[in-house]
Amino acid sequence: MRKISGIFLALLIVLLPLCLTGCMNAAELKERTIIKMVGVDMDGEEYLLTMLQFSPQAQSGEKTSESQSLVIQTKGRSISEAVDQVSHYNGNKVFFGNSSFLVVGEKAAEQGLEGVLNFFNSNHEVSPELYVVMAQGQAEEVIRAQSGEGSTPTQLKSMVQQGQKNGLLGRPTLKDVMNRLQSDRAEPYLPLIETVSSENEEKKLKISGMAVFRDGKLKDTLSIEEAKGVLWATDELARAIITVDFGEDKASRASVELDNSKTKAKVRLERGKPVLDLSIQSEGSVHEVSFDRGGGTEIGELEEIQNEVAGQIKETVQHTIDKVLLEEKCDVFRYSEFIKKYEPEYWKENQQDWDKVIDQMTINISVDCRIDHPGLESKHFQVDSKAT
Amino acid sequence: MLTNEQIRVPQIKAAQLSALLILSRMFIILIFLPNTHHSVGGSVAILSIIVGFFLTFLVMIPLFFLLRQYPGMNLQQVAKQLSPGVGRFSAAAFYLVCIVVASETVAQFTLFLTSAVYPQASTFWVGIIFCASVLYLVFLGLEAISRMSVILLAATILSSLLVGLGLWRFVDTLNLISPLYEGIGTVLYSSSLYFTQNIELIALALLLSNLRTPSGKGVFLRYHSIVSIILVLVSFAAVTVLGSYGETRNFPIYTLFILSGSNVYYRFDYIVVAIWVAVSLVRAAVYLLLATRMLGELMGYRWGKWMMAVNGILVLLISTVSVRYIKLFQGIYQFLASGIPMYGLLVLLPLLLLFLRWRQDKNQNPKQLSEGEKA
Amino acid sequence: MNNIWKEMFSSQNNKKSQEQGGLFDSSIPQGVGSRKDAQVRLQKDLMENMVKIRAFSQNTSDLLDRQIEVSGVKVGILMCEGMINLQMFTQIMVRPLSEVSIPNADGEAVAHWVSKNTVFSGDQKEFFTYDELFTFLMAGFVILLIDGVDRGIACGMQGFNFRSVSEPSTEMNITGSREGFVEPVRINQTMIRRRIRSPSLKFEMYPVGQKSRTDICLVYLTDTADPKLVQAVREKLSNLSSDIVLSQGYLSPYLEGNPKSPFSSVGTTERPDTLCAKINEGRIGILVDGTPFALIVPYLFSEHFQSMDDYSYRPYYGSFIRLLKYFAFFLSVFLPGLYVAITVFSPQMLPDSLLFNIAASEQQTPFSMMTEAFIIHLIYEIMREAGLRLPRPVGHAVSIIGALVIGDAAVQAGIIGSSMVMVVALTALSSFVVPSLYEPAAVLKFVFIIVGGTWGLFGISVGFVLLLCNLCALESFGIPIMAPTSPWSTADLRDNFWRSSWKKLGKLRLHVQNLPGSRLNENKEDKKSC
Repeated sequence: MRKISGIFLALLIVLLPLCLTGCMNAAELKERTIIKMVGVDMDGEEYLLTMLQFSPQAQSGEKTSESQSLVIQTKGRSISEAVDQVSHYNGNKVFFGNSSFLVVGEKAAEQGLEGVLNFFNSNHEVSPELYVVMAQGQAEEVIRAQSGEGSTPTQLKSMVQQGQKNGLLGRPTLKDVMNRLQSDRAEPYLPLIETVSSENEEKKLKISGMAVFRDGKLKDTLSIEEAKGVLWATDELARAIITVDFGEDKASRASVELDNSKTKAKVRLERGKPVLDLSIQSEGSVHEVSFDRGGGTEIGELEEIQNEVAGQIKETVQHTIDKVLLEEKCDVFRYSEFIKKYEPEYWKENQQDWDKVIDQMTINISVDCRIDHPGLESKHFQVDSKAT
Repeated sequence: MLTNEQIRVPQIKAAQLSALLILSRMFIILIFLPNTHHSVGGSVAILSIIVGFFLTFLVMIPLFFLLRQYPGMNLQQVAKQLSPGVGRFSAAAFYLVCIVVASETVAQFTLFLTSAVYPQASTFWVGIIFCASVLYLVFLGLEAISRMSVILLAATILSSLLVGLGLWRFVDTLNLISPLYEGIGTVLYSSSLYFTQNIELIALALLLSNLRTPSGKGVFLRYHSIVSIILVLVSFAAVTVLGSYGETRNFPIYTLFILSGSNVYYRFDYIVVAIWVAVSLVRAAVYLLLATRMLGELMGYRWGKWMMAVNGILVLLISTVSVRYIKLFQGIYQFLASGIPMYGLLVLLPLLLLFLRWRQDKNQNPKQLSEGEKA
Repeated sequence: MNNIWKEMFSSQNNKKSQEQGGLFDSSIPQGVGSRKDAQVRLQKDLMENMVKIRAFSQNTSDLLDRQIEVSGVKVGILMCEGMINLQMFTQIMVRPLSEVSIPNADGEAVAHWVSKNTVFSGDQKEFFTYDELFTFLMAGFVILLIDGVDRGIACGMQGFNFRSVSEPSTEMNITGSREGFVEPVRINQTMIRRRIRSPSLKFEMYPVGQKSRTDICLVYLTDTADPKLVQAVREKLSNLSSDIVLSQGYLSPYLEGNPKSPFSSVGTTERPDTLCAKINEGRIGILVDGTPFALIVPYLFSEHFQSMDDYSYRPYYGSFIRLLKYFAFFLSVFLPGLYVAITVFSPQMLPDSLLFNIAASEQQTPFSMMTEAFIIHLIYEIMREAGLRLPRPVGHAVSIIGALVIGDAAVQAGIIGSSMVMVVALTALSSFVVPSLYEPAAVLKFVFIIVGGTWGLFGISVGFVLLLCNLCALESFGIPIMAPTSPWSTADLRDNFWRSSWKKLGKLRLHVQNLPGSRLNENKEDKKSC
């Protein structure tokens, strides 16, 4: 037994050098082109890929600063073809494992998201948490703005992360977008990034709204306000600041920070037609108050503020749903999934006539706002100052 | 020439056997597709596991009824004792199934590795490395493998818990729709599939003779319930986290692991690769060991070590060919999933043996009675 | 030779245990190596004896012989030069011998007087053959041969020089005893006896080595150690076939378990307190004359991670140190391999900024990651070995050069990336945490560098599983060396990954033969395993 197990060990050791020739896909780090960010545009019939490459050669000294990056641009009829051409530049393997962003240009989005995302979804290196955003105009501009002097490449990443926290963006990850593209009717949305030129020719990036899709193709772009409505209606809003006027002739003004919002959607059938009950519950605190008169606010006025805020939320959500769902028939809210889950029979019958379903659907929105922290400043609320 | 009795039977504890079987069964999560057969998503999978859990109990009744009469023996030994012919036939059948399962394991793993982890790797080399390692494990013996599987199972469960924590924030119950959406038929079909895919029950039936204390039922209960719980949890995670996205992935659980790491522990790829390497090695080793044992039952134990090597090469050949010719691979998969081995060996064989035993009893009893009368 | 051993063990009598202090018992194998003709009995004539002894010993220069007359009877005194305490010799032996006057003296009378009326030494013995004579002579006895008597008398008066008891150099401890074993086995015996004053503590002394006749001494507690285990150790040692035994390493291969493994199932220790703790758990210690190290069998894997200090710390800190050691050992084996595998095969596992840093530092290096790791770890091992063998003052110089070579210079010269330096430093540091596992860690490290560089994480996982399975298969005297962990036993784990307090450890006594998976409890069958 010892002899034979020895033979096997020897065999393993002999096999080792045989494999040294590279039957696995080994690639040294210096043989890889590390892509930090990808932009996809359409140039006529071809895909135009703009990639931000990490290039340590561009550095002086030993310390790595992340600001040095090169922009590579390739073209191809498919994305794989375009990626393959990168190696014509430097003979290296393209590596997407640490890419953090996929920027989709407007034209490419109009062509359909699925064609753009398929490559990245099937690449084994790409993380499913790759952020997907849409550029207003060309994706190339966004990528180039990142490589320029003065703007750090993490800018976009931190901007998106911060935007997510501040309730400007949902979860624009590859996994989420693919999930929506795969489902029956739900549609993805992407945050919209705009390139702004400042005075000294320096290009800056800015979140400018949201792009909504229908059948995987770009349908419309929403403003930031409308984008908030989408997030509110889908329970993805983390934080929002709402400013309302109140008082006798709406002369006082208060800003309320809502930091805990919950949206619940329920679908039921009423006389064979789907009814969606949307209840939004927000909690928050008063942030900033200015009065037309001196002194403070009464407790009674707090309720007024609450009602005003609730009204404003409802208005925003109602407007967005009216515009996106009812008019444009884009289900970025995933309400179709709710129907499927709660009324499967109805869904089975009617899923082919999505337009009809939407027309039949009634949507009730109820908003409940509660301000439970009065804020730091004591002068805001003078408890029964008048009563005495 | 050594006979069966002269070979020291490796003895393992009930807990070790359970761990070994659970680990081997965890291989299923490697190829786990919550929605292979239906577009409805994984809710069906969850329900069908629960239904399949009870279904398996029902189906296993004759087997355990039979084995209870022969404590300390495995199914093949019982068959041999009742009728040498059936014993030989069953050994051949078990041999065939074990070889097929071992090959399928190697092939599945090679496919996983060369498509999800190292797309450019050569399947041939991966298969060779894998088979050589499996052979080494088999050389070390059942005791070593089962001891190791306790440690590996603990590590696997621990890391899966970490993964679960990392996944918590992705859970979206909106993806969980009624499992009866496609009707009760699909659930029942999936449940029966749950039983037929439970090949580890064959290993259980063959490894019973290695238990220190005859406690096959306890092992079965422990194995079966823990595996079912694990699978329910895994499919719940797959369904709620991935939703329709899972449909676009070939190895959804792998994606799950990557996702879980992406925020908390960076990327979890390595852990899942390590777990699956371990699980696949253990599974292939167990079936190769059983195949060798069954071949020894057929041809004598004299060439034990060489038989092992021959079986290893056979497994390597089958798996390499089946990876190349995907039709053969599908054929093997269909054969295992069709339930022929499971129903044939774990239901029909025990029933046949029970019948033989009943007939023998009937033949003996009159004799005993007549002897008694004479006395 | 084998047969003699076996006979000896089978006829193992209780006499031996009573003679714990005794040096040589009558059961010494009859036959000193090749000098077969030396087995003849002593003659009555002193001159004839002396001539024969001279002939057998080929006139070696360290053999001293003197003839004196005691009451008119010729008495020959033989000894090995330098092995006798001369002061003791003259005071205790020569003076009484020269002063005594025995009436009607003949050989038998003198012999009778010597054996009955004197105590020259505590281990005074009579013997009959040349073979025994030489054995006693080489062990530092003074031999008296009396004219007209066909037997000799041996008196132990050893007085050779040896190192005094000092602090052990390998197993440093902060708290606890500062005593370490020394070379002479008898001194070591007293150190153990002083710690365990129980009649159940038993020493069994055997000579091993065809030529060297080195004393080895089995130490165990008769009421704790399993008799089967003791018998098995004796049997395995009886297979020893080397001519000389100079250190404990000559014995350990005979005690190792099956199958072949990079990990040893025989422990060594330099500390008497550690040895006492081990034999109290039912293990057997083996002292070897001439080395300050004792062997311990059976040795479990978890014992590599135990040290005397763990038991003097408070339990929570002891447990923390234990876990830390396991982690450090894991690092010392796998870190370089993992680093190579991750950077070459799956860089996506690294956080962005770390990857960028590594990529930047690797940009200028000439070699592949694997070669680089291999070279730098090889350089490290060379420097370690150099520092170890050199005299201490030069050793410092080596470490300074080492720090320069591995550290700054290699990076500056563009041979390796700066992050590799970090890896090699961390690996080296971790390997010092568990010194007894340094050998496997050093070699496995290279194996995993190659495996990781060629097959990536897949290879490392396969290697890990094979290694683990090898460990699980390894048995030392029928006890799986992964014992309390893998044939699981929660109760026995109290001193494994964590250390319970002495309140608990003292109450539940651990005996190796009772560990889960132990074969010592079952009926041993000599059958082939499947």
